[in-house]
Amino acid sequence: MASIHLIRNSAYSDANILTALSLLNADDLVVFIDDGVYNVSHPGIQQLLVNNIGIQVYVIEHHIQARGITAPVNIEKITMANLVALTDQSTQVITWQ
Amino acid sequence: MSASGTTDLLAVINTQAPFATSHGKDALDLALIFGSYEQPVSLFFIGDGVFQLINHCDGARLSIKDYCKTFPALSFYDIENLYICEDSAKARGLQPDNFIDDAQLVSNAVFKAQLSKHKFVLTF
Repeated sequence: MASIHLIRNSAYSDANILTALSLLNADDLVVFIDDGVYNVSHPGIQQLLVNNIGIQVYVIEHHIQARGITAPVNIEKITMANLVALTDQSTQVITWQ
Repeated sequence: MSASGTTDLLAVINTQAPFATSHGKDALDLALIFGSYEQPVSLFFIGDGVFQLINHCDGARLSIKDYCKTFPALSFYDIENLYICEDSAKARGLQPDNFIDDAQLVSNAVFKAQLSKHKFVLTF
């Protein structure tokens, strides 16, 4: 069953994030939250999106807006309420920080 | 010019992104204190620190005081030198127009040269 991976740090300064992403299953969800939102433009993350068609990637909307950056179209912006709903549907939540 | 060949007093290096930690705000508070006492201080932004100078930051969305709004006003404190490491910006997919006007995007060589002009360096 699907897991949600909450990514809280910037992969530009924390290489562990990319290691964590190597553990993804095809039906998993990735959610960028807090400083994790900076990852939307990270080449390693973009590569992940290209390589893993099944993995859905989300970013918390007000966290990315607060930091003044924009997400590419293949990353969906969600609210905290949406995240709660996604959490409800998943079997497991893993926080990477 | 001091005996050591340095011309300016204090350099503050910012290496962390804003909001998630207090590093950036602490660094700015320190710079403002030095500025208030007319002590020459320069700010350097490298690594994830460059994210602090993005011009559309809006910390109010996180229900916190947005200290980044102070950066464009630093000239009132006689803090004129804000240097952004160009390599760090490029690595993060950021363009010159992503940053506030008051900051200078500089090459690694210029960044190093400016940094070495300062007598004291503090890193946040």
